[in-house]
Amino acid sequence: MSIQAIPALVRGRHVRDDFQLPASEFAARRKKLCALLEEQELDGCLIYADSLCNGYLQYFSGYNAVITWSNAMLLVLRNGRTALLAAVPGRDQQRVETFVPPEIEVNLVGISLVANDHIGRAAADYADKRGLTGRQWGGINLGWCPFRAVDDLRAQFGEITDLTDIFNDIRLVKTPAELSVIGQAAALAKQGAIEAARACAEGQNEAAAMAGVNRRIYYAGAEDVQILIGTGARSGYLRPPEQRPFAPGEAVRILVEVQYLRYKAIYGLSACIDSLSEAQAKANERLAAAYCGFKQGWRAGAVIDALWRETQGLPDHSFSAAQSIGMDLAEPYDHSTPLKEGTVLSLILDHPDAGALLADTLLVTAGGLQAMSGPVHSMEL
Amino acid sequence: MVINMKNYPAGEAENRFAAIRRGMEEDGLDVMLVYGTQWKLENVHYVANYRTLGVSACVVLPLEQDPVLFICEPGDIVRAHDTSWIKDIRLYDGRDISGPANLARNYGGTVGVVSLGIMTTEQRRALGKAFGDGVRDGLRVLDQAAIIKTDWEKEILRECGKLADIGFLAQIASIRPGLREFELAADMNEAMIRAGADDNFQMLAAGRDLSCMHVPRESAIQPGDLILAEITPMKGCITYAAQLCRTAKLGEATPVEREKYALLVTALKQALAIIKPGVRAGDIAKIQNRIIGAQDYEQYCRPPYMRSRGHNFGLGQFELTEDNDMKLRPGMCMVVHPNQYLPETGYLACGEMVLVTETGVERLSRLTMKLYEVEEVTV
Repeated sequence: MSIQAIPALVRGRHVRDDFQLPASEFAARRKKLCALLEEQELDGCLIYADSLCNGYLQYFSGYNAVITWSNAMLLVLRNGRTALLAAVPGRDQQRVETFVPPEIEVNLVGISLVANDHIGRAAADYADKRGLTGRQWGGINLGWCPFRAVDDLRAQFGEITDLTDIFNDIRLVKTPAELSVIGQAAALAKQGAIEAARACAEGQNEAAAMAGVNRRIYYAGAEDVQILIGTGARSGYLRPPEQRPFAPGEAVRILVEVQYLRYKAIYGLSACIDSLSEAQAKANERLAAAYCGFKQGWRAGAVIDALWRETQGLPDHSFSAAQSIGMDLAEPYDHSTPLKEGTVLSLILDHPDAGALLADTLLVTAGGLQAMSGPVHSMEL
Repeated sequence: MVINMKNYPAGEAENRFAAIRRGMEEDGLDVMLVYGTQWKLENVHYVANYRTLGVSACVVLPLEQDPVLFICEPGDIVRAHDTSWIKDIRLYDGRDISGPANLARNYGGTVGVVSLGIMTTEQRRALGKAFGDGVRDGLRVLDQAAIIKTDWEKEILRECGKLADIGFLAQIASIRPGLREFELAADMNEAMIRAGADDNFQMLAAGRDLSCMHVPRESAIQPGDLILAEITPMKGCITYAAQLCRTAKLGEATPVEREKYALLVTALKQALAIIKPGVRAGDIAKIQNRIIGAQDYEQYCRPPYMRSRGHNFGLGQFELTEDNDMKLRPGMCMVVHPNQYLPETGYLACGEMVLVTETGVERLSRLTMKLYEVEEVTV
C-alpha cells in the first residue's frame, strides 16, 4: 500500500465565464498574499500559470489559463496593486476582462502556437516601464515556467524568492465559499459515477455509453467532466473509455472527475455487468471498511503518513491515493504534516485485480473526514 | 467502420521513424528527445502512437537503435503497451527528464529536443548536464516528417471529416430556443464521440451581430440567432483532427444574410479550386481576401478582423496567410476557412478541411456549403 498521485486527467475545455466566486473572495486572497509579502519583506510577487498548472494564478485573479490554452503571469505588489499579463491575442481583451475583478489591470501580450515563453520578457518589460525593478520579488509556481521566461525574469528582477511552498500551505485550507463550490462539484461527480455505472451494459460500447453520461453531467452544470474506467481481465489500469463493448460478467471500475466553477472533485465506484463475483464483493467490502476507518481516523491533527502505515483494511495489490484537491486536481500536500481542519482531500481506494474501486472527495473536520458527496460503494447491474 | 488507433498498419511506425531520421541527418542530430505534456499530446503521439495520460511523456529516438517511450503513470503501462508500437516502455516521474536525457546521451552528443520552449529551468538544466552545448531545437525535424500524411493518417483524417459532419448535423437537430451554448456543445460532443471521436475542440457562438467564436458559454439561443460553429473532432490527438466551420440560423435567414453567406461560399469554392501541388499556401489566402475584399470589405480582411484564412492542425503547423511562401505538396492537409466579420451580418463561419492530392484537392466534408436555416420549434 502506498500513497501515490492520482492519474492526471485531461484538463477542462468548457470554462463557463458567467460564473465566478464573489470579487471579495479574490480580494481577501490577495490581501493574504500581501501580508505574506510584508512578512517576508518582499515588494511583490510573480505568479505563473499555464494550462497544465493553472490553479495558483486563478486563485488570486479568477483568470483561467485553460480558457485560451496559454500562459499568464500575475504581478502582485505589496500595496495590493495587481496586473495580469496573458499570452492571448489583443482581440480577446474584453473576454479576458470578464474573468477578473475590475481592480486587476489586464494586459494581453500576443500568443504563440509553439511556446509562450515570451511571457517572462513581457513581465520584465511591464515592470521596467513602471519602475518596478530594483525591488525584492517573490515567485509562485515559477518552477513550472518555461526556462527562457525564468531567465528573462531573473535578468530583470534578480534572485526571486520561491514562495510556492508557503503558499501551498495557505491554500490548503478552503474558505466557506470554496467548500460550497467543491461540494457541488462532488455531488456532480457522484451523479456522474452513478449514471456511468447504470450506463454499463453487456454489448454497449464503452465510449458511447460514457459520452451520454458526459452530456448529462454537462447539462447538470459541470464545466468539465472526465471519466476513467477499468474493465475486463486486464483491468489493472484506469483509462479513458474506448471503442469496445462491455463483456458479460465484466467488472467495471469508474472514476469521475468534475470541474464546477473552476473547482474539482472526484467520485468513484465499481459495478458489474451481471452479478458480482465473490472476489469483487469481498474486495468491495474490504475497501469500504478501510474507507470507513480512514473517515474516522483522519481527523484534524492526525498525520496521514503514520495512519496509512497502520491501516490493515486494504487487500494486497491495491492502489491508494490521497491528495489535496481544489482548483487543481492534485494540489501539493505534505502527508507527514498534521491534517488541518478545512482541508479537502480526494481519496482513491482501488483493487484492480478484483474489479473494486471506491473514491470520494472528503473534508477534514475535527471529528474525522466528512464525505462531500455521500457514500455509494458498489452496485450490481 | 470506426478506425481503432491501436490497429495501425504494418510499416507505419517504420515509415515515420525513417522520415524523422532523414531530418535528423540533415540537421546533424544524433538522437531526438521528443517531449510532450498533456497539452502537447501530438509530439509523443506521432512518434509512439500513445496518447499521454498524466503530466507528460517522452520518447528517445536514436538514429539507428530502437526508440524508448517514457511514461509517467505507472497504472498506464498496460495501455501504453496495447497502443504504442514502441516495445521498450519505461517509467519516469513526468517532470524530471534527467533519465531520458542520460539515456539519449548514450547515442551521441547532439540532441534534437521537441518542446524545448516549454521546458522548465530544471529540465533545461538536465539537458545541459547531459549534452552541454549539444542541445538543438528538434521541432523542425518532427514537423517536416509529419506534414505529409501517410495513407493511414489520411484514412484517419477522412473519418474525422465524417465525424465533423455528424457533429454539425447533431447541432442542427439540437438547436432550439432556450438551449444554452454549452448544452448545444454537449449534444454535439456526444454525437461525435458515439460515432468514434476521441475528443473535440469546440468553438461556437450564438446571437446577433457576433464578433467571433469562443468556447461555449452560458447564454441561451434565441429565435433569429445565428449559430456559428467551428467543430474539430479528433482521433488520438489534434494532429488527427478535421475542422468544419458552418453557420446556422434559427428561423428564416434574411436576404442579406443569404447574400453575404453566399459570398463566403464563393470564396471557399474558389480557394479549393486552386489547391494543388506546387501552389503557394499564401495564394489560398490571397484569393479568399480578393473575393471578399472586392465587395468593399477590404478592411475586414485584415487584422483585427481577420488573421488567417486557414491552417493545419498539430505537427507541421502552417497558416494560410498571404505572406506564406510554402508550396503545397501531396499529402498535406488543412482547413480552409473564409470565416468573416461583415458589418451587415456580424461574424459568419464557413470553412472545411481538405487533403492535397496529386492533382488537386479532396474535401473531407460531405455537407453542402450553405447557410443552414433551422425551423423554429418552441419546446
